[in-house]
Amino acid sequence: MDKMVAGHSVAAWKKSGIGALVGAIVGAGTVAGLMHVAGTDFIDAMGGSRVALAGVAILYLLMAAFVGFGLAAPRTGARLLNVADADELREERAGMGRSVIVMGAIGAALLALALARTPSFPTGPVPAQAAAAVLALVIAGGVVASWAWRRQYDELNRQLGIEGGYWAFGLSWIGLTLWGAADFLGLGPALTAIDVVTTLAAMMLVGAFVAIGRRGLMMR
Amino acid sequence: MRDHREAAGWSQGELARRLGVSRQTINAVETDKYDPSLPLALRMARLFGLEVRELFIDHWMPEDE
Repeated sequence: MDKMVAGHSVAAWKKSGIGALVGAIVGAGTVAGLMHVAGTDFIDAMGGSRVALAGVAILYLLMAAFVGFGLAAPRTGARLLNVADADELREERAGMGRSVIVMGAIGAALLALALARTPSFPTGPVPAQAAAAVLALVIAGGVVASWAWRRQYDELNRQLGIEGGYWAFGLSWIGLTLWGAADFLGLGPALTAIDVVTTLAAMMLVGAFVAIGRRGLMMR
Repeated sequence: MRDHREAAGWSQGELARRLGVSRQTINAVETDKYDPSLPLALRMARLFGLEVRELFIDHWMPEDE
């Protein structure tokens, strides 16, 4: 029995490792490719805060793409995603499909914001009004969808949502308070409005991973 | 719970469908990564024709007074 448990543990580690490695390679490749296409001048013009927001946006979009790929090709997807097997991807198609929509929409809105044309970034390819409209649409859609889908999530999903939110809020509060205080006291870099957006979006992801990881659900 | 599920000849997906939860939830309960709510524990016990204490093991004992 112990050998079976140990064997399962090794297999789970191996699967998680392969998934993380593929994710890291695809993520790094995507970012490097996009930076190459955008060019050094464009990246320099964006500035650190916009680049950080774009990076978080790309993370959301990549996660949506990974899960979407897994749903389209369950056999291959089961080797990369945090699921027990291909059947789980087929059985949980509706729920995971909703995750793809939500993550994709958040990623698109954040990317539009990062690329928005403003006085500090006059070469931004997305008109500011368009970025605002996309963000407003995604937030309004998210509120409506949360209400419409409220019965589609079971108790484990809801519990993980609560725990993820708890961690996201706590980490955001610590990070933004320290950063804001350092800026106010002249001891650290300036905290801009867009940094707050980036921090909240990033901590939502970190919070979700912490909640899932603490329950041992990262390896299945 | 896994023993009872397998004795019934149900897959995790089948049990999840009967209980109205996700397969991920069944997997998490079976691997001791999630304690179900009381309503779900009661439904699980009823489905298997058992008492909750027969389905979930708890070694806690009250302290001697």
